[in-house]
Amino acid sequence: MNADLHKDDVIGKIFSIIACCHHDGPGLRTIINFKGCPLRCWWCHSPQSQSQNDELAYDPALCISCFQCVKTCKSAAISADNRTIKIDRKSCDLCFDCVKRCPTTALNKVGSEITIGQALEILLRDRDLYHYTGGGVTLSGGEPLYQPHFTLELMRVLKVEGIHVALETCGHVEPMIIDRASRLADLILFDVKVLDDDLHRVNTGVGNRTIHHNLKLATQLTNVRVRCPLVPGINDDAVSIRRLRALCDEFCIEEPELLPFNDAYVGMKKRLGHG
Amino acid sequence: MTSKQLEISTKVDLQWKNLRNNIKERNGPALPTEKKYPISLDGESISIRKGWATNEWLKFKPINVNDYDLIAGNLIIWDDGQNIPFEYWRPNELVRFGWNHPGHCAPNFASFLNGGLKQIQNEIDEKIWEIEASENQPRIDFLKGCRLALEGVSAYKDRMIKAYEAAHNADTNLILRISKIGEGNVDNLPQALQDIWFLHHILQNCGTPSAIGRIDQLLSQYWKNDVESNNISEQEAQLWINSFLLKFSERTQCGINSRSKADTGFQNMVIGGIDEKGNRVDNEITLAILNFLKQYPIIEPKVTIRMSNDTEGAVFHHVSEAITVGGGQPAIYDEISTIAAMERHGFSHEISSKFATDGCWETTIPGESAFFWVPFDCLEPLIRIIQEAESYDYDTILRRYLDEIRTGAWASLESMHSKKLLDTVKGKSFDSLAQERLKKTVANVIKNGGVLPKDDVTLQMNYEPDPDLLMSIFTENCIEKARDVCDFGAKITIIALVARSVVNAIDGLIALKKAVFEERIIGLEKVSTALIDDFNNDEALRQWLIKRCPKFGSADDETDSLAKSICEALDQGASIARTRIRLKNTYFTVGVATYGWEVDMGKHLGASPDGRHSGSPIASNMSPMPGGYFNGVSSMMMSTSRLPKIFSAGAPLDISIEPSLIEGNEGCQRLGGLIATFLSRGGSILSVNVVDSKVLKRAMVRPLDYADLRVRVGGWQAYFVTLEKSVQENIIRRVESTEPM
Repeated sequence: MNADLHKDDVIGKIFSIIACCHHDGPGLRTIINFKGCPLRCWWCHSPQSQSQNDELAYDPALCISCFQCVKTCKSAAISADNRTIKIDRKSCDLCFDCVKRCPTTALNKVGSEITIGQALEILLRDRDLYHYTGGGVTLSGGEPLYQPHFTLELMRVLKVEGIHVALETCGHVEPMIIDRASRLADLILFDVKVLDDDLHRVNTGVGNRTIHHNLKLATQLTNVRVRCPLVPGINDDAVSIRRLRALCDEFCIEEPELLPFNDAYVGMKKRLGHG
Repeated sequence: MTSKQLEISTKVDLQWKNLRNNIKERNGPALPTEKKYPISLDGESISIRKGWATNEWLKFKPINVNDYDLIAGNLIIWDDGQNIPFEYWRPNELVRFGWNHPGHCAPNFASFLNGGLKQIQNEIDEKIWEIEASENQPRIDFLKGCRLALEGVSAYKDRMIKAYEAAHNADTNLILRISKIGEGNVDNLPQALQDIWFLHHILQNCGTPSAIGRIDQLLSQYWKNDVESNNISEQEAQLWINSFLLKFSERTQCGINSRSKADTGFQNMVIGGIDEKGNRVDNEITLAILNFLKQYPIIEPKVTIRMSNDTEGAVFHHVSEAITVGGGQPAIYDEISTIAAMERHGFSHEISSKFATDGCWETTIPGESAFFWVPFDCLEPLIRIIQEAESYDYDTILRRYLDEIRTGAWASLESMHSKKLLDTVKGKSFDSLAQERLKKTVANVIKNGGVLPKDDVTLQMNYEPDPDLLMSIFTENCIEKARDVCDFGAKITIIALVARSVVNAIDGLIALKKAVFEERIIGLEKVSTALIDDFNNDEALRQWLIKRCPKFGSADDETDSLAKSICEALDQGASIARTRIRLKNTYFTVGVATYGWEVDMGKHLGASPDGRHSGSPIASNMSPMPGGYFNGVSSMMMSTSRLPKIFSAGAPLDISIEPSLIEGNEGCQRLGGLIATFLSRGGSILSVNVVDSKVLKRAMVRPLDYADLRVRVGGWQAYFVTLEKSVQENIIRRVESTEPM
């Protein structure tokens, strides 16, 4: 691919870029969060990452009841509801005119398209910070590898720039893609949720055989750290944790990182109108 | 541990235990009620009267003696922060520099340690003899006043010896050290610490809020001599440094500052950096001071470190560790940018490489300089232009604003020398002047949407001189010129243009551009009305200005470019002043600072186009305004690094970091890397608060449980629970704005 051409031509869908983070890889890092994921974990702490489509989020805590959005909405999907607003999601045509008029950012468009060139401009801004803190860029989401063309190209360009690249993945992708990503990533933060295949299917919508296969593949090619969000009643019992440790032992990777349960998803689901 | 080391260690522990209780209880030593003014001085000049007042005060100031004292001399601070009883000179006198009181200087400790008191006394006597025939009475009186003050110093030393001799467990070594104070030719660390403390605490006790200067450079030779010749071990030297530094907290226990109930006594010391030859000063004392900061939860002295990316890794590590324990110490100077700015403003490389600070960020040259600052508000012209500019386009507004900044900055500096107002204020009491100023402020609030009147600045600068005799004695050239340190007697006089509300003005201009000229959501006239109404009828507009417009500190190219233009205009204003006012050895510097008083400063300002409510706090120093959109501290560092390198008087960036970022060894490395990034991008000054807003909120509810919780307020730090509620709330807003959502 022509080097100058791809920067503007390859487009990815993301929902945020956050600088100066320290939880997802060494040093201080910029996290680029991708939109779209093949899994549907009900506890997902960023439910806005699951769908690849743009979404309208509404935070009543920020709303000052100016009702500019009600006046703006051409499809009459927004109506005043006491001191807040009600959104009829079925009528909403996602034109986002209301977002443009909202003075407080109570209404927000979740999701934006970005080219490789635009992403690089932002991600490389903190190149010196990565250097001095031993940090870099982390691709997270959502599932970055759900957009393999964009993600792999971004990883490649970041590597050329000498940036430490960490990839956070759920692992439910084609093995060929994991193979290529593992060769480009300095670190893979591999999410392992539930070890039992059936239980995994019930809670995430997919089985975990491909995931385990890909985990094994990744460990053969790069540094892998297994991360597991502890979900009450699902995987936080001693047996599940012991099995997870055994899995890590089997693949000769360090102790899994157990992440505390995060109930932030409840508020975000409400804001997105997800049931 | 050797027995000698054990003895010193026990004494330091006792010193801290006692001090800590007193700090918690704000239980400073009792002040004398007896006034001794045996002679009548009616008709004498202010210098003579102040000389006598100093002399008398030092003859009866109480001396506390404790069994655990390693260093003698205690601080007693009067309720209003001044210290010499005023009867001899205060009534009907006006202090020339108003709030800009004497101080912001560090005495020439090196000359005191080497030459002693006798040498200075001889200099004064010779000078009196030399000019007595000239009949220049003010100068002769100034020198005689200095002589009287100096006699008080000697008398105080003699009283100290007697007090310690009379103590139950007299420490003969300590008495010997006291007897050698001011003898000059100091050759060991304990004596150097005793001499420095003696001079410092006398200045402080006599109402001069003085600083220490570059303490590690000053003490290096004594540490080296003692440790290399095995007089004391490195551990003992550390204990001596600890005992010395703990003495500065004696101000804190008095709890005098009405805003924080904790003192801001200008007790600043600077460590690290390069010397005149470009060699690094960082040494064992630098590390010992940083070790002290890690160990003791104190708020005095204020420690600032000069750093660059040439600073050694060990120093970086110690600095990071010190900051991680909380309290925001040390603050960090980007010395490369500061020296470059000083050179741009006329200082030679030799002088600028000596810079230190006194108080907050008042760039000074220890032992050589006097420092004055001229406040300049950057919102006032913007609000005025909006009110006048019904049919302007954005370019015209910007051009007019930059012109106003340029000429306003120049006029403010020039007002330092204007004699116009002197005649009008002569003969009036300070109170009546304050009343007049208040009336003007109120009138202006009504007329201009609440902006501090410009002549407020001029008013402060033209009072009669209040000589600072003791500081003059210990500042280079004052005796030789027979002129007070505050009256251009010092070898170097620094006059700093200190701008404030700069960030609010940047955010306001860019918001105006977006709202009125690009998105066209509102007309200029309506903005003007909304400001006068304090957005009472248009909260949606206020929110739009805050939330939907770019902000300084988010690394937005357009905003940062505007910030650059405004800062350049400030610098151009100072340049005009520099070419018009040609005073020998006087330098005009530029800074941006609120020093920690952004809540008070905001009270006098009307609503602004950045969405700020009337009377609410302005942005702290050169830091982004809380509440806007930011993308981590790196974007703040990016924005400040894009400013021109003109801040010879500092333009600090205050950041808050959530405690989890600096947890453990990895966290310490992250913080070190963050500091290195700041230095490599180039900034001015960085202050770091490591604190969680939830903890601060809990402390507001249960203050007794959080007595030791310290925060960096601005150029100083405080125990959080002692701060005024409005200041506490502002700090919480600042911390929250940098916390992850």
